Amino acid sequence: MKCNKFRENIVLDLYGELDNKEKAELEEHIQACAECAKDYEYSKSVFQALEDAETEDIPEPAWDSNWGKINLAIRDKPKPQPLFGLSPKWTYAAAGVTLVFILGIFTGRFWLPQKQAGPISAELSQEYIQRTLAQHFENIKPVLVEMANYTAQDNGNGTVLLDKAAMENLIIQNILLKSLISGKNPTAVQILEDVDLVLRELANIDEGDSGTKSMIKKLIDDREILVNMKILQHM
Amino acid sequence: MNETEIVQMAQQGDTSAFRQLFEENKRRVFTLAFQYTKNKEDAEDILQETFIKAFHSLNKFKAQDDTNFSSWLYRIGINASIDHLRKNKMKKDNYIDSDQLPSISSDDGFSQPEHAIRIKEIRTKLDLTLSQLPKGQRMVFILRHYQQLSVKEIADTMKCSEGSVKKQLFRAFQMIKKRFKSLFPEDNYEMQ
Repeated sequence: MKCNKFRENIVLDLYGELDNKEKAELEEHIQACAECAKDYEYSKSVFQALEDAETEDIPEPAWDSNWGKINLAIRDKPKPQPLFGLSPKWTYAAAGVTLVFILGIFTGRFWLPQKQAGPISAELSQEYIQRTLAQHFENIKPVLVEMANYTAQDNGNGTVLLDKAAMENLIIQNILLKSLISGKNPTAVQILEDVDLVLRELANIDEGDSGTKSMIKKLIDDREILVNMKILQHM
Repeated sequence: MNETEIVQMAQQGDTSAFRQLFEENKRRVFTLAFQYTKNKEDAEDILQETFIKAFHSLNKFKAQDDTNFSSWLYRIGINASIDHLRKNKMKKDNYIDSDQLPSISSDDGFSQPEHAIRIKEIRTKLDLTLSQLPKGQRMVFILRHYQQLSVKEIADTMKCSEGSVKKQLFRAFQMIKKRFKSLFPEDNYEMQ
């Protein structure tokens, strides 16, 4: 065995990672090789110095504050809130029906002319999906930017936030797109899920509810939604 | 109530059960993150990212003979630490340039203040060296040296071979040895 291998085994020996046979071979080699013996002694000294200096002070974080931030980020995530009084089941059912119509339109428009009679393909091109996603992100960006720039002093001055009908459309678009790309683009699905959470909060927010507005702003910041959207748009 | 039951409750959306999991695992995750980043704020960010990611992936977790929740969470913590540094380059200000520290003889018989300074010098040199290691090597070294995981446990946790872990540990230690030459002049190790 070459010295290089023994040099590696010297380190592993210090960490107790050699079996008896490897250890015996190492000891035998060290007896015969002055360079490796020197390296072994030096390695032991460094290892000992690291051990001596090991008791490092780990700072004490503010556990409650950290939990508060985690709790804020995970709040309401597992169970989507009702959309305008509809239960999630009906929201998704409605979205599903609309999706079938949209798929039908796209299939007829982009696929049937190039194909003879036969089964309708439900496949959409990556290019089309990417373009639609980019357009969707453009549509929701003003809402997210406004919330990302929200401060307590702004309370009550929002314009975009008041338009519930526009919000409803954005949520439906978001649900449809999520269904379209499900299984094809996990990164985009994650972003759309984050956006979904923000839009639902906005749809149910009261005008003077500064606490929820601050929470939404934090959600956008923490999950880097705007940054991720921009990255995805340019991919 | 055992861990599996608490995890099951958390999987059903019970945030108080998830809080309990946070309480039981927070220190281990934070310590790892701090040892990896050497920065309290970064370590707190990693702590939060780890638990948020864990919560969103809870339904994917299935307790098995060789994987309990803590190990699973720890793996998320390791990845979050590596990802965090990838996104935010290590703040150079956290490190003291070891060349600016006073040179200390390696003779035996330090007085107390000298000993304290030497320990500080070793820690500083080590921190500096670790900060310059490739991320994988740094994580392997921290897991083996500080967290005292075996090579096999590290390989399981980082999803790589034991041979790869051994190589990375060796390379990390070689770099430390190289940087520590000034503390331990080679002349002291001449063979008798």
